[in-house]
Parts: sequence; C-alpha cells; structure tokens
Amino acid sequence: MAGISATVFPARLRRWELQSLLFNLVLATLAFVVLYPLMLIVLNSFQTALPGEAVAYSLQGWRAALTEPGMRAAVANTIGLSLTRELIALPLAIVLAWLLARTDLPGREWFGFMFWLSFFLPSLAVTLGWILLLDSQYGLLNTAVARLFSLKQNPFDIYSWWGIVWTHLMSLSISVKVMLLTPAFRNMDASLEEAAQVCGAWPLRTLRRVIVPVMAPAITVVALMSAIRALEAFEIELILGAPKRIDVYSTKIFRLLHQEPPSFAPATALSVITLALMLPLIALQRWVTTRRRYTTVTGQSKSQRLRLRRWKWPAFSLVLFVVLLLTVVPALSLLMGTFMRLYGFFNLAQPWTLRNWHDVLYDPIFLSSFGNTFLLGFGTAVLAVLVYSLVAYITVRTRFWGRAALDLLSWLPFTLPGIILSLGFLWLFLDVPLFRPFYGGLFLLVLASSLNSMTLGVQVIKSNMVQLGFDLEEAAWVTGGTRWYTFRRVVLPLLTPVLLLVGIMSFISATRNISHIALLVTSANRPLAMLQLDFMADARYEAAAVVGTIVVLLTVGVALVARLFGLRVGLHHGG
Amino acid sequence: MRYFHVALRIACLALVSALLPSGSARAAQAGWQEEWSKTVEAAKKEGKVVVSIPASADLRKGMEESFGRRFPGIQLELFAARGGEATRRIVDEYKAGVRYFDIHLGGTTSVVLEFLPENMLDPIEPYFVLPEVKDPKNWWAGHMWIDKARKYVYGFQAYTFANVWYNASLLKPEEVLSYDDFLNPKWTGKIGILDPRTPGAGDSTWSYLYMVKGEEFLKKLVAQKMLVDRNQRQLAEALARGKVALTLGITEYTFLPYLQAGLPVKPLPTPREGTYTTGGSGHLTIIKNPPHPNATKVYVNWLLGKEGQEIFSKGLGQGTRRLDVDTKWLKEVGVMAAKDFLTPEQFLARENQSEEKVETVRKPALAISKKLFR
Repeated sequence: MAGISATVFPARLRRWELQSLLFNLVLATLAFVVLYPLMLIVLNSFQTALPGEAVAYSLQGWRAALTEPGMRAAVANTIGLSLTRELIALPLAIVLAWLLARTDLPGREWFGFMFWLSFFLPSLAVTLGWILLLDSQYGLLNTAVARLFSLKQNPFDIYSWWGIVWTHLMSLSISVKVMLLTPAFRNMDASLEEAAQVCGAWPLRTLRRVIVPVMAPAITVVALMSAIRALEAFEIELILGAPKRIDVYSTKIFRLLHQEPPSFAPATALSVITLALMLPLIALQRWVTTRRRYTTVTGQSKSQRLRLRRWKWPAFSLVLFVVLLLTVVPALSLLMGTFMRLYGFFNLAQPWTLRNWHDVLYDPIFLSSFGNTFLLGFGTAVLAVLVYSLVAYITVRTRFWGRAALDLLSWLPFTLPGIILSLGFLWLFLDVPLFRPFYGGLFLLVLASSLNSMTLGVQVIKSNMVQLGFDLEEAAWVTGGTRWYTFRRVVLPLLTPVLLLVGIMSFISATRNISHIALLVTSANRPLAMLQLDFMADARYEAAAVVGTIVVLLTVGVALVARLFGLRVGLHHGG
Repeated sequence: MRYFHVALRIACLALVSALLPSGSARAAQAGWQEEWSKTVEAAKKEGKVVVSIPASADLRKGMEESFGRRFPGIQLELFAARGGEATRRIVDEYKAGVRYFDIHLGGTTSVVLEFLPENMLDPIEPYFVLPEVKDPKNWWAGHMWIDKARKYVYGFQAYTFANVWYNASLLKPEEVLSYDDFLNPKWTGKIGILDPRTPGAGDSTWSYLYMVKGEEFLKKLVAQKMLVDRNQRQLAEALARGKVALTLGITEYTFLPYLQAGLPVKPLPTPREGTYTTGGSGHLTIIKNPPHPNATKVYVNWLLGKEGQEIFSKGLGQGTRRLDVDTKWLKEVGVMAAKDFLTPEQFLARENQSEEKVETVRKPALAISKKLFR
C-alpha cells in the first residue's frame, strides 16, 4: 500500500506541478501583453510634453478631456442612444435566439445563418443602405411612404437621433446578440421547458419565467458587452450625427485623435475613464455568473425542442421580417454599390459599371492582400480558439488562485477604443525587445487581432462552460482521465459549436478590423482592409465596396465550411 | 597657305573644344554618373526603400509600377496612411530606436509640429545626385523649403485650386462674389465645410479665412449652422443632391465623378479675397539615419525627376513645380499649378503651410475652430 502511494503521489504531484505551471504561465503572459500596453496608455494620458521637449507629466490632458466642449451633451447622447437601442435589441434578441435554438421554428437553420450574414456585413454598407432608403429628401422608402399616404413631407429622417438608433439595430445590435445567445440557448436542458409546459405555461411565459433566469450568465455577458461597445461605437454616429451635430463619447475620442496635431493625452484620458467605468460592470458580471450554479448540460440533459403549435407561423413571420431587414437591405446596398458609377445615383445616363471590380481585381496588390487577409484571419482564429478556451476553462472550471485576475484581464482590451489599443500595441511591440524580431511581420498582427477579440471569445466560451455540469468531467476523472485528457475529450467536444463560432468571429474581426492593426501594418503584410482604406481615402466608395464584398464572401465561405462541420459534431442535435 | 591650314586647324580645334564640355564639366558629369551607378548598386544590395505616402490607391499603384520597372532590384515598400497616423508611428519608432521608414511624403502640419521639434530628419540636399534634380533651374521658383532652416522639408508641389463649389440649381455664381456673401441669411444651413479640426483642405481653407478675414468673420460663419463633416465624399454628395448649396474645402478630385456624371456641381469663381496656395501632399522628408540610405537616395532622385513628378501629380491630382512636367491638364479638374498661373511672390503671400505660417496662422486658427465647433 505504501509502495502504491509512493508511486501514485509523485506522479500526481508532478501532474499538479505541471498544471500549476501552465496556469501561472498563461496568467503571466496574458498579464504582460494586456497590462503593459494599458500601463503605457495610462501613463501617456499624463504625458503632456510637446514634441521635442523632455518628457513631462501633468494633469493637463485630463483637464482638457473633462472640459472638452460639448462633453456633457456627448455623454448624455451616449447613454440615451445606448439605453434606447439596448432596451429594444436585448429582449428581441432573446426571443429570436430562443426561437432559433429551442423551438421547432421552420427554417431555423437558415435564419441562424442569416443572422451570421448580418454580422459579416460592414457597418458602412448598412448605414449607406439605410440612408438610401430613409434620407429625408430622397430616401426611396421615405418618398414611397409619403406618396402612398399622400403626405406633404417625407415621414422619416435617417440623420437624426432615432435614425442612429435604427441603424444600430439594423447593423449589429440585434444580430450579434442572437449569434452569441443561440449557442447558449442550445445547451439548455429541455426538461425545464417541459416542466413549464406540463404546468400549462405558454411559450412566452416559459421564456420569461424559466428560460431567461436560467440563461442569466449568458444574457448578462451579452448585455455587458453591448454596454461597453455602445461606449465605443462611433462609425454610425460620425455619419448620421454630423448634420445635426449629434456627438457621442467615442466621436469625441475619435476627433481628438484625428485633429492636427492629435491630442493623445486627452484622448487616452477619456479612454482610461471608460476603462474605469467598466471595471464595476465587469465585477458585477463576475458576481452574477459566480454567485450560483447555472448548469444546464449534465449527463442527463435533454435537448428536445419546444413545439410552437399555432404560434409557429406568426413566429416564422416575425423572424423572417427581422432577417430581411438585417440582411437584404445592407447586402443589396453593398452589392449594388459595387456596380454603380456613383452610389445611389440612379438617374445618371449610365449608372452601372464594371470598372470598380476591374480596378480592385487588377490592382497589383490585390492577390497578396487577399492571401495576407486569409493568413491573418486563419492565424487569429486558431490562436484565439486555443488561448480563449484555455483562459475560459481555467476561469470557470478550476480552483486556480488567479482565475479572477485572468477573467478581469480578458475583459480589459474590450474596454478601449480600437485606435487607442492599437497605439498601446505599437508601444508594446516597440518597447519590448522580445517582439522586435517580429516587428513588421504577420505574427504581431495575429497577436494584436487575437487580443482584440479576446473578451468576446472568452466570455462566449465561458458562458457556455458554466452551463456544463461537473458530473461529465468527474466521470472522466474517476475512470483515470487527466485534466488535459478530460478537457480534450469531454469539454472540447461539448463546446465544439461555440468554439467554431468564436473561431469564425475572430476570423471576421481580424479580416475586417482596420483600427486595431492600422499602426502595425507594413506593405509586406497588408490585408484587404487596408486596400479598402486606400479607396475610401480616395473617396471611391464603390471600389471600397468591392473590397468589402470580397471580404464578406471570404468570411461567408469560411463560415459555411465551419458551420457544415459544426453541424456534424458537438451538442447541436437535430439542427 | 601652310599658315592658313594651321590657322584653320587651330580654329576647328577651338570650335570643337568650345562645343565639348570643359574638363571640369566633364569631370563633374563623370562624377555624378559614377556616384549614381555606385548608389544604384548599393541600393540593390540594401534591397528596399520604405516610404510613407498619403492614402491613395492611384498613387500607390503608379509608384509601385513605375519605380519597379525602372529599378527592378530595389523593392519599393509603400505605407499608405492618413498623415497623422503615419507621423505618429514614425515618431514612436524613431524614439524607440526602430528604423523602419526611410521617407515620409505628405502635408506639412504634422511634419512641422512633430518631426521638426524631435530633430529626427536628415538634410535633404545631400541626397540629390542627378543634375536634373539638383539644378534649381528645373524647378519653378527654384528649390523651395518649408522649414525655416531650409534643409529638412522640401516642397515639390505648388498650386491653387477652386475650393468653393456650388450647386448650380440652387445658387447663381454672381450671388457669392466675396466670402462676406457666405454670411447672407439665405445660406443659413446651406453651407458645407470639411471639418477644419482635422488635417486637410478644410483646415487649410479655414486658416486662410482666418488670415484674410479674421476671427470675427469665422464666428459669424459658424453661426450660419454649417454642415461640418470630415468626409469629403459625403459633403460632395450633399452638394450634388442639393442638401447644401455651397461647400468649402472639398478638393476638386472628390467632385470629379460628379462632374463626369453631369450633376449640377460647379467650382465657384475665386471670391475677391482670393484663395490659398498650397503644396498639398508634396512635401519630402527623410528620417534621420534611414535604414536604406542608398535606396533612399535612388528613390528621392526618381521622385523628384520628371517621371516621379508626373506620377505623383497624376496620382493625387496636384500640381508639381517641375518645369518639364505638363500640368495644364490639371485645369480640367479645377487645379492650377503655380508655375502656369502665379508668380512665386503671389504663391508665398497666400500659402499657409510653411513652418512660419503653421506657427502664426494655422495654430491660432485651429484653436478657434476647436472653440467654435462644439
């Protein structure tokens, strides 16, 4: 007996030591790559010396940030706009995700894919598409409605407060929530719904009284992410807010950075304020997700679908309507733009042309940019899935001493605007000799892109992991499986759909995001997004739309392949 | 007769030697050719030159194609970005001791406000090798420098352009003959301006108005409830669609597709107070101790040569100062090269891009724009 203990314990000890070493290594690496740029950003918010002067620190940048003209109105607009759209988007997204994941809604697979498609479409295309329809003067839908009801003037104005809310809803506000919530809903144990049905509850009552409370962690994470993103959204506000001077917090940061010379100290100060405001929300999210258990997937889990019966076709019509609004308008707008001489001008003698496609496809850097985009997206997706699943696993399913710190670290990159984070990465890569050999290479772009999507990815995986019962892993451990074996053979297969989702989201984010990598790109590693920027700078939106379409096609192709693969494995029974 | 032959030979010899380059000239010619050959060879060994250029697909394509054809052994790496982003990265790299960029081309404000104070530029003239580049006679107004020291920021373009455009179905050109006419209540809410807080033609126009009309005028102009946007395309479209009647600071290049499509956008005849003159994005700086010094030399001589200037001018629709480059065609897109229409004195009186003008005009004008546009 003593002999057995002597051989078993050192082996366990070694395993424990290795595991502890790995966890500590993950924490240390993440802390370094996240906190170092963050520290530099905070430091630079106090750095107020002019170029050429010795470094000097003062509160001048902070004073300038806080007394920035129009700041109060911008903050009020930010809160008002975000609250309004979230109050509309979140309940709607919960209903839609539930319909797609838990019910026998006809065509739910295709609807699910359409929400993904909506996520792939660039915000600019969505915005331009809705301008074309709802411009107060020439909007096609606007004039049609006015004619139909014999109105004296067009009823809608896209360049307004409600126009901004509407365009956000039609851009990402709804689709991203549906994308994130659907896998979490899928992992729910159907016996809860069955019990509610047995008690005579209607589908919507079941949703409100049973499903929403059970799904609290996933919903909290999604709501929190939306709140943070709302503070950073600026593209739509920049276009639609300009005529009526509707500024938001993020457009203030954007303007500070893009003026001449750029005001880095006030811009970084405003970003640090965002970060500070987000910390209590991150703590709240952690409190919500850890105060009780949300296990919905156990060894006895059932994933049967709820039958909608007479609600089936009304529900189908609702989802179809939303999906058409989210996808058809922007997709048509994007595609149409690629064939137009001047976007939206139908009354020209020859409004259509193939020149835009010719200009892009025959651009000498097109092929290399395409290759770089694919490598960047693929590299980011692989690194992201590996790192995020590890971080999520340590945070949710171990008793590692630093798991709370790891969770917090995974949130931090998300709280900063892209261009500020890009500056932080630039300083990190320039300051640390370890990164120097990679400077100007694709690896640093992959690293920056992975850090950029980290919060979203880790939280999505986490919210699905907390739903997994420990009995599955315990069964593996009892039969002699190691933690790594259990992670690989039990946890990973259960999470395959969500990991694919995260991989694809990281791929898309990496291929589309300009702001996070703009300062790190060289001509050797430039992706298509930079080519798009060239055309935008030339005011050639039509050619830029061609690049946008190609990026969308690339991501849709990757998503289709991954989704076909995802349907064959994992938890996703019966579609 | 014999004497006659000798005299004839001496005369012929004198004529031939007068026609041939002198010994020192021959030596100089041999000198630059030798230096050029050595530089090109050394540049090929360095392999590449890294240049930051304004974001423009046409410019990038033109440069890569032409330079690649001319110097096949030297790779031209172009980093296309908006001025502020590029200069920030270059400054940060320089301070960290990373040498990636050799050259930056662009507007002057960020160069004057960031590069010059950091003392991070190399003098440019030592990089001139080819006589066609070196010789001031090939340039309108000779060599033109933006910096007070006259050696770090070289301006190779000079032009002016119609930067007030109008919608012909909403306004008659005789209604706006002076900038004061902008203050007519009739145009309240009907003027678009490129955001003067961001670098570009909006900033330049605003600074010019400050220079010629003063702060009070700018206050009244802002009270006209202008449509302020940092996006040229959107402002151009607003004019084409008749949402505004006038635009300020939109470059002719943006209006080109609208003109070609026959939409009612037209350049307003220059108001009586005139308009500013500029070098646009045509300013050359060399980062101190560039990583590829010989390739930098080759690129500088190519860029400032006839071919380089033609490509730059065409790529951005801006007017070069090189006398052997045709710039008359620019008039079709509303641009007037200074060499075709102005005297150097006229140009210098209206420019607001030099180091001196950045300090005395642009900086106070920018402060006013930040105060007025909230």
